[in-house]
Amino acid sequence: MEITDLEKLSAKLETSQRKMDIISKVSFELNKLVSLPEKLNTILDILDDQFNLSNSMILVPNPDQQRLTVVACHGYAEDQTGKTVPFGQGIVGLAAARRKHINLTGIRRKQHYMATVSHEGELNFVRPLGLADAESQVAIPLVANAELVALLMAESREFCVFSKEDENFLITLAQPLAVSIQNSMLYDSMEEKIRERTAELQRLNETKNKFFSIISHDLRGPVTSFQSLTRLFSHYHKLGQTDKIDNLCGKVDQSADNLNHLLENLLDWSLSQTNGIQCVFENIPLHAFFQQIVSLYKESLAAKEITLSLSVDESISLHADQHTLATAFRNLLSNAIKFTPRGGAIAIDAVRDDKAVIVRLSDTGVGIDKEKLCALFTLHGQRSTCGTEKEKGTGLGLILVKEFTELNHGTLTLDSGPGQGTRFMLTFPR
Amino acid sequence: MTVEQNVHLEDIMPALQGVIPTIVATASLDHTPNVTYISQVYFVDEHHVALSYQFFNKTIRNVRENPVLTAIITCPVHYDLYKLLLRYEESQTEGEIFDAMEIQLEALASAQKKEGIFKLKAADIYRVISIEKM
Repeated sequence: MEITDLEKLSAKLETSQRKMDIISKVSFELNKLVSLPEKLNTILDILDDQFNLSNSMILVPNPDQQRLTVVACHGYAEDQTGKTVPFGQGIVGLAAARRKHINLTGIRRKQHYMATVSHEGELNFVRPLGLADAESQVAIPLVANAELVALLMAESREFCVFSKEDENFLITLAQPLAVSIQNSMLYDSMEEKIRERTAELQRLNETKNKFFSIISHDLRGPVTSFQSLTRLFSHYHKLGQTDKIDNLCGKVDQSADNLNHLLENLLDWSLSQTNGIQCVFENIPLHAFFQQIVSLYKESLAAKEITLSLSVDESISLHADQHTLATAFRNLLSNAIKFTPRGGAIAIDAVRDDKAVIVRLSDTGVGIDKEKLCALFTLHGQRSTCGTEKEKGTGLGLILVKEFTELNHGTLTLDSGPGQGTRFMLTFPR
Repeated sequence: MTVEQNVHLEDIMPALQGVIPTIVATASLDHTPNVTYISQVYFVDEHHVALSYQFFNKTIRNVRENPVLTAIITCPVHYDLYKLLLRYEESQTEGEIFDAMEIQLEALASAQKKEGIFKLKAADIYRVISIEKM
């Protein structure tokens, strides 16, 4: 064997040893339990250290497989993370679209040549990411289980940086890289699912707690009230005071109404929490609809001497579910009555344009301070506030209003401040 | 393959990456010579290279008549020149070589938003008869 052959063999051996070292280091990094971007950045560092890939990046396809986004990069003056390139464009986009590796060198000369032969004198390079003046580029698609998981791109301003041998080695490295990235993505998505499930369980737990709180506290009040009234009935009956019994009948009626309202809300709310509400959408003429709602509160309005103005054109109608819409507006109106002092005013009006029907309900009530506004539509820390004449509630009313508005594809906004009344605006698509 | 000065195709890989254009010389049936530049000579295997066939020009016409071609390639690392004597074997319009050449062309074109303009008609496969370091 000649000396040159021995030298060649020795060089080959050295190269193989170096490659084994890289594979070993990369494998070690791939097995670490760290976040995906951290893992990828470390791999790019190793490739630079061991393989002189001074400018490199890893891109992942978007879920729609239309663009690739840089998730890790190495060696660039400007951070490339987050930059995107469409499938099919440039070396990166084309390697992803075709799932084939590409190794180019002498890029600028070849592009000049293309511009010349296409008779378009001026060059119009599209370089959405990476080096603007790269002369060598290699793009390796990372495919696992027949799925494009990511793409490794390395580039240089030098010519012939990536030999055929380098390219083949990167292709060898691509397989474990792809599998590891896919595993990390699965791990991340499972973590995300666990977070979602935990949040859902917490929400359900809050719902359950609220349910028990209402049963143990809010329902107990009216029942205790009935007990006291029954004892009073018996007492007045024994004394033969029928006029007092007549007075008590009014209170029993009011108590029963409150209890009924509370139970209805409780039932609606628990149905909404378990997705048990089936909406039946129909055309609802709003004028008649609001007249019916207002008639339910005639006595309550009269009792607090509140004037109500209804300004809804008879031609306005809404495509919505009657039951949930009525529940939402019943709660809004009873809420307005509850927090409007004796002698105040409530106004309901509706307008429409090409796209939406807007219903506004405003009152001259006590208003809501900023702190309470934030927690108004959530169960978290929600407690019922007594009305201006100590009216009680469950704290569920406004939660139901929001949920049922959304069930009818509407949105709800409100504007309020202490002593400034409250203005609710519900917008529904036409 | 006649190998002069122990030069193997694998040893001159950098010269086959198309950094410096290749000079090719062909002759028609009546021995009229034609010398021109081409962008790249592609490595196929230890005995073969490929030339891209994009336009039907004088080189292609000559090779179809007289299948011998001389290519002078330049190593961009050491600037060594190599003279390759090649014999045309076949034109491939599909397969691994064709795809690899076509994707390179398309990658360059798409980076200039000129996708589809530079169509590769075929990958012309040549057997390497000899390699001579100049």
